[in-house]
Amino acid sequence: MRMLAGLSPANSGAITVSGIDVVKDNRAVREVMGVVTQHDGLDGGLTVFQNLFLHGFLAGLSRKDSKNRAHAVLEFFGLRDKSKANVYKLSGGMKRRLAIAWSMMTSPSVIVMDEPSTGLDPQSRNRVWEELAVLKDVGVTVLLSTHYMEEATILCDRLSIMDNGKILDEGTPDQMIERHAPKEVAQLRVSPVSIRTVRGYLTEQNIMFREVGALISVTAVNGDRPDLSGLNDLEGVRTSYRAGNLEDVFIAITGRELRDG
Amino acid sequence: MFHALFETSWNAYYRIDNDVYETALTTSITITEITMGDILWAVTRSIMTVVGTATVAALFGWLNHWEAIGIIIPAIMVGITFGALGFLFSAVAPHTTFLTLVFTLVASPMFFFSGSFFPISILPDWVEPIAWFMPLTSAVHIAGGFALADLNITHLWAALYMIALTAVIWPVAIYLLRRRLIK
Repeated sequence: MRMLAGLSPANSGAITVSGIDVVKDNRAVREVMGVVTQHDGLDGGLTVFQNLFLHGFLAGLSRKDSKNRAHAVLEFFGLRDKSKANVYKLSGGMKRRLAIAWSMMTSPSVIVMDEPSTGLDPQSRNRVWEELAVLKDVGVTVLLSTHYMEEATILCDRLSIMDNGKILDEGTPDQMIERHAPKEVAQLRVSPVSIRTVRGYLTEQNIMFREVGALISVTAVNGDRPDLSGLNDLEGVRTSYRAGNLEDVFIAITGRELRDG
Repeated sequence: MFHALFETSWNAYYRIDNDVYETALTTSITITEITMGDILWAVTRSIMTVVGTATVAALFGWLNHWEAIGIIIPAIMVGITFGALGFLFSAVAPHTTFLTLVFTLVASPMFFFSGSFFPISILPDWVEPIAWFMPLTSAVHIAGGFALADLNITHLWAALYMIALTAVIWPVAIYLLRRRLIK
């Protein structure tokens, strides 16, 4: 992603964006592409409006165009009442939204985003997602990286799962789930007093499970509902079922944290 | 000097550290253009300071030649040379303490021994050549020439020395900044 934006040197291979060679003609690429880096990179000494205006100006818009565009972008992102606020006073969510708004200053056809909703509270994240969905609707191609599988499920038409710099598989979220995730996963919320018993039972029954804190996710080998009848009478175990999701896909493909009972 | 150096060392370091330059580079501008922009601002700060000081001096009647207007020229040169020098430091600074050292160990002694307060001719013989090596001494010499309306060939040499120094410092600063930002 940094290579796309010209922020990292390319060692080998080729990248093209909208038919433009990224390595040979990086300046031209940056003219058609908006970038939201992992860190907001906003100028803390300037107001919201000034940040947008400066970005437009640096990107080659005239003063008048940059001013008009900044107003339009503020309107689009619902930030108009914040236009005179100093950036350093904004919340994390607001800064993130401003960083996305900033990448829209040049009306790009492609936007590259490095973990757009990392570190945001649920409300701000939803707001960011809504805005990204609107961008998609108006025809902007969005390329984003994320650790949140929920984010990938909601936003992506096509996704690649990468581990250690290699693409392990790609497809639509539904295709990926169908290919790699179980139909159903049982989730056991287990109180500390029963955790040893539950572990023992699952291991004994040869049931595959994954333990994260007090939550144990159980998948039967054939992908159907696992037999947990032996845990019915145990105190402090709450069982619920959910459909397989991208989180399961990610773990299945990368093999991380998987415990074979 | 202090204002120009401050803009491209402390303030530039802030922009490096807070990824402001990184984000700026996602537009179509280049690192060279970033340094040009901030050095231009360093020049502006330098001119503002010099004009302010010169106005006060003029009010006291210490500057009474029309040639004194020429002081703007060394102000511009100081802005460019020290603006570039500041980038040299901010590009390699591992943390802000390093920049404090730059001001304590480089800028302040330079200010003291540049002829700003007393003529460098009164310095010990072995210190004088070292003082001439420092770019601020040349700037003060040129400013003195305009202030006293007494310009000669030595002022031209001083100007050429500053230009030559900048011609070396600036590209090195761009190289170091690129090494820091493009990773």
